[in-house]
Amino acid sequence: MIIHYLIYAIFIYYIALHGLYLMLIIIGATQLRRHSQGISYGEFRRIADSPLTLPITVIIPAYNEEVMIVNTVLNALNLRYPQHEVIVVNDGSADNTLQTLIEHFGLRRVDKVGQRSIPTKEILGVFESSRFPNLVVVDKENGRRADAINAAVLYSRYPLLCIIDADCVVEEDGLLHMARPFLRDAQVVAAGGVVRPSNGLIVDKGRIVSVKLPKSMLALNQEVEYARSFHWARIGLSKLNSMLCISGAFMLIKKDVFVAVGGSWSESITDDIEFTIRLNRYVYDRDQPRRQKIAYVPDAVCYTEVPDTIRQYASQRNRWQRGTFQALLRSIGMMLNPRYGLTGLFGMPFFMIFEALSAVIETGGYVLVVVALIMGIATAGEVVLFFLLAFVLGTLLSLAAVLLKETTRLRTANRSELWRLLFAVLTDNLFFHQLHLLIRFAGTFDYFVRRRIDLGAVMVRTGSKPKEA
Amino acid sequence: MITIISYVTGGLAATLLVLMAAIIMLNTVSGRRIATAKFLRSKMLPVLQEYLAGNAGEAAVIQELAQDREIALECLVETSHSLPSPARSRLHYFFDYFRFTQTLMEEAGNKRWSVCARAITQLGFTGNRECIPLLLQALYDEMLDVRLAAARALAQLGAGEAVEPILRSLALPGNLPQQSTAEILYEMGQVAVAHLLVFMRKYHRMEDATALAIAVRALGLLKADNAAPEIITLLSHPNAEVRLNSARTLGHIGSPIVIKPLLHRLQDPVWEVRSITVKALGYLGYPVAIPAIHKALEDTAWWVRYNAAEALFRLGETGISLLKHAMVVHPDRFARDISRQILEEHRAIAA
Repeated sequence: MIIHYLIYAIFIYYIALHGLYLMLIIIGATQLRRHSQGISYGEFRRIADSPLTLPITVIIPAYNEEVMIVNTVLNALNLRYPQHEVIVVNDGSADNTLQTLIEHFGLRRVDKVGQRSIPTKEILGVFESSRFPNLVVVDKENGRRADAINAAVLYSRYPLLCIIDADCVVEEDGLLHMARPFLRDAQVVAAGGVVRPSNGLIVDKGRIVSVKLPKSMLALNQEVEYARSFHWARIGLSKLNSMLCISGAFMLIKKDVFVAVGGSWSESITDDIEFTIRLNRYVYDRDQPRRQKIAYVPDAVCYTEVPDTIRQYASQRNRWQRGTFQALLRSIGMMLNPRYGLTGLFGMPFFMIFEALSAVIETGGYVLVVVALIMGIATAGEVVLFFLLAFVLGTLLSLAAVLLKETTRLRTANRSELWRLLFAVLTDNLFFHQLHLLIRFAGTFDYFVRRRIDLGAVMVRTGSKPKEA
Repeated sequence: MITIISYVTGGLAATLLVLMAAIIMLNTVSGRRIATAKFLRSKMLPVLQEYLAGNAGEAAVIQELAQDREIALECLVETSHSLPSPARSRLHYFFDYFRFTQTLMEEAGNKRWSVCARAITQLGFTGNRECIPLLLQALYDEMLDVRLAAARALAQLGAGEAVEPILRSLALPGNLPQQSTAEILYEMGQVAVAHLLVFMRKYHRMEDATALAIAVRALGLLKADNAAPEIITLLSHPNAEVRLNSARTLGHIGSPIVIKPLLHRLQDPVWEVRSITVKALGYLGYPVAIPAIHKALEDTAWWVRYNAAEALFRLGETGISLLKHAMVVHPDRFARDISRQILEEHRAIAA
């Protein structure tokens, strides 16, 4: 009897989940169209040429990134923007990250003075380059990524901070696109952009030469996953003031707001999720004297390396799952709290039930179906129907993401790539989704039972992607 | 129940197949459209460049552009956009020949704001002043994008009478409207100066001072020397944004009469105003300002100290000596630090 009720509960969960996703797809599609129609002729060129455009500090926290760091810094320095500086923080790397930077960019130590004090681990030195006047490298004791970001803020000069990962490659106009909502609307205080896997990217001296899909199946399936996340989920959630995760790989925020929120939390497992939730708490608090907004920019694109071995993938997703719970529980006071408007009443419960807990509930669903089959409560036909329904629903969501992507300039360039992408969409729900569920289930177990708050294994950069052409 | 779920699953599976087919079709169709547009653009853009260089006649251009009106219009606008304003008139003939002005004026009345904004943007390149009344009307559209497009088009057409309506319709909070408006008025050129001065005189006491602040900023971009005496009076305006823009503009204008009023502004209670003022004094480069700039090295705001140190450095040998001295003996720790930082940044001392 209980199993019956549980099966019904999980069925209702599925219907609710997909109903909400459908709503997000519709909102996402509308917003995407609105966004592209709202760009006027020559707008980005005007922003790029204007001496009045708000200057940006690009922050790159780096830990053991000797393989990728030069390309990433060159890419950041080459970005088309009227005024920007790049601050790289060497977060106590054990490899030659700092030495590589010193040699490649001709850095020299300077006695630089910071302007604000957010507590960070000890700063060991500040370096500048004679060849690249807008490059600053901060060397510090190892903290976490959050601590490195806070350290960079101490040395930033400009009112906008763009935080990217040390393996990221940003499209040449990426900053112009990201800055646009800040220039249009004084209420916008933070924005997130689109992140795509860089595993198929070819980069030459920091410039993108060609964009292709990743070769390995695991990375290709992450392409589908990222498309789902960025082409409708985030844009839809953003419209509902419920985008509780701006990817740390590409975020733009006003410096005064970053400082007012208290900077990144250095004990966080996933600093971007934790920071975004706290940012939402600050921005959408009804007691705030002025109205503020968090924007999503669907045409500002950044590429990041995704794991292409199961081992690294498992480590990364396990950490993300633990980090999601840590961040949500830290701001649990927002849950169903009308003080935070839609963020408290919809965003937080949605993130908890349909993101954080989905691994437990969906895994439970699979187990229950098998138990029901063994106990004779369900027939083999019914079980097959259940799996078929789950497959079709999941595939439809991924296809919707691909369809939306095809309507933008990020469309797949040639037919063979499109076939590969569609193949990945079909296989996603046959193996990778279930694998992902298991890893996230383990992450939940690790967080609540084993009390793991470490960062897991450091991702090994292969250096072959992105690579020199 | 199971039967219903079976039907639903079947329906969804069919939708899935339709969606896949739609994606493939969309990819194919847009791929072809992009390829065609690319091909036509590769023909039209070079012939327009050839025409501008004097190597091709009007007939050759018309022959190429006639292949596709939509892409022809895009190419004309793109080429016009890349040219300095005075040179754009050479392409007006083609806008008239293909009757684009009439088409665009009709589109400007479209209910969809995106179509309307695009048409209005393109009208600015046609050089046809018949559309000015329509553009003035569009300045009161409810969509900001339409208003911005209309203002830009009016500026391109050199419609000085539009200065006040532009300021009134675009004086909104937010960087882009303010930045864009100042730049639009700058693009209008010297024809805007007289109208801006009239506006400033008329509204210098207005409470909502955003439009006034933009007008002052535009005068600075236009380097309107004759506006200096009136802008000096605005340095004591109750609105900080107006004071800030006035200080910035006086720095751009660069007349010696502005030094004394600017020195007074170094006592402004708002640090942003002090920061811009000290920067302006640095740009002006008059040695009489050195003691006041030196004093600003110990300001409570980092940016004021930073700009003061930069201003001293900009003032040459005297300023650099003062910075070197301040770096060692200044009683204020922050003044010492910022002096050292600026000297190091400019490699005036060894790190």
